[in-house]
Amino acid sequence: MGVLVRVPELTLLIVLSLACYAASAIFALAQPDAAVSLGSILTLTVASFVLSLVIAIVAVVAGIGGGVIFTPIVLGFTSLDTLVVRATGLVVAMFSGLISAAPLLKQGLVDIRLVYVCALPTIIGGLGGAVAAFQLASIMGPSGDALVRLLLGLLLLMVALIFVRGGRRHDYPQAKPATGVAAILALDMSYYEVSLQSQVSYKIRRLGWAMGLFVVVGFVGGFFGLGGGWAMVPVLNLVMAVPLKAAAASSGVLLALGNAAAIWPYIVYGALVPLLVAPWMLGQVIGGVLGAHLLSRVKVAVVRRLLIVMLCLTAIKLIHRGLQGLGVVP
Amino acid sequence: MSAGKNYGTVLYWGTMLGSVIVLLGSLMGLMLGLSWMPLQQQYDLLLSGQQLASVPLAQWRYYASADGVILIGLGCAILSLVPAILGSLPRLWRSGARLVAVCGLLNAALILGAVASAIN
Repeated sequence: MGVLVRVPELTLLIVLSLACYAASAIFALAQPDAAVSLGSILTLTVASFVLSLVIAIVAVVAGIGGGVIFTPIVLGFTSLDTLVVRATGLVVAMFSGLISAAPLLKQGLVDIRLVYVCALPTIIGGLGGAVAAFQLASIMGPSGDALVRLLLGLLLLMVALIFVRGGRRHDYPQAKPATGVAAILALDMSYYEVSLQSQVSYKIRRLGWAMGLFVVVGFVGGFFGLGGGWAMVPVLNLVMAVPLKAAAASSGVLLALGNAAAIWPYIVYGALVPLLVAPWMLGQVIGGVLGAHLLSRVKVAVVRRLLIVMLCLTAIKLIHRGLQGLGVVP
Repeated sequence: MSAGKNYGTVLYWGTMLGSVIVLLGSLMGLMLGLSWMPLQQQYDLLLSGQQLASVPLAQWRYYASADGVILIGLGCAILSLVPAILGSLPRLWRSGARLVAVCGLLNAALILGAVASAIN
């Protein structure tokens, strides 16, 4: 808990959050007429805050964005409108990235040049995805939505399989001379790997391909409210040859920037409910800082194992929902 | 301070400020009942799988409600990306990463464009 001493503003935010919910609880108890209903809303709010905190820590360490954990869980276990869940999912996906950017950039795990270059196609794709979510909802209907979920789940399983079979060579990909767009931008980077006690250098490769993939990742993330961190790590690591830990850290920062435009169509159409979103946002902010401080101390193999488990769980959930939507399973 | 650290610092404090505003909005809604639509009505609609009405972003009165204050907090955190990006660009430009700086500028323009179209 040394982080609470080192980051006093985080401690202050935690105390203020707890004080806010405690004051609201006392107020609810003091009003017998409204106590039952307001008490239930408060319980839901505090439970959302705690769950969001846990999701944020796991998401930052795994570099996947919390949306991919939040959205399937909430879509699976509640009767909330899917657009409301997707809007909240985008907030969950981006806020741990917003707050964890500073410690990760300070530690040197993330290079801002890589973030700016990759964010451009992600923002364009994300914005398109969010607009398409509303435009296509009436055209595609539930069966089209189910088919896309099914394909997404299968894609995730393939990515998890690549991570399982990939071995150590993807932890620290061999630095090869850059070609094409990557060579023009001269994106040579390095970071200090605490577990190896040495500097790890890497060169960005296949940037053109990666830009195309980021448009797709952004679109899917914006459309489903999943964010996109789950696919950003494989693109950064397997396509662009970014070491796994740097890829996991960069994806969170990239996710925050990439979804900053996609959230606005959801706000306009009333799918973002402020009082519902608030505890999720606060949990992500506090959990994001805690997760970022934990990340530099975690070994790459642990991050990879976490990633594989997360990808598999999400894939199973998506496939099940997809098959359910198509009427294949009850 | 490097471009990355500059970006991270602005974003960090923007998000912290946004979080405090969101907390204030939560207090207004949960304790004082100053929400745009009654809290219990909002949750009844949401838990029965319905959507709420569109947010009146252009109405100033909305921003005096708990919902409006929370939205201001969220907006403050999200829009801190713009000064964070703009503040890091001169350093990137001077270091020779000019194409990357242009990418950063385009990112900021896209975010502002999305906000402008939302308000209109």
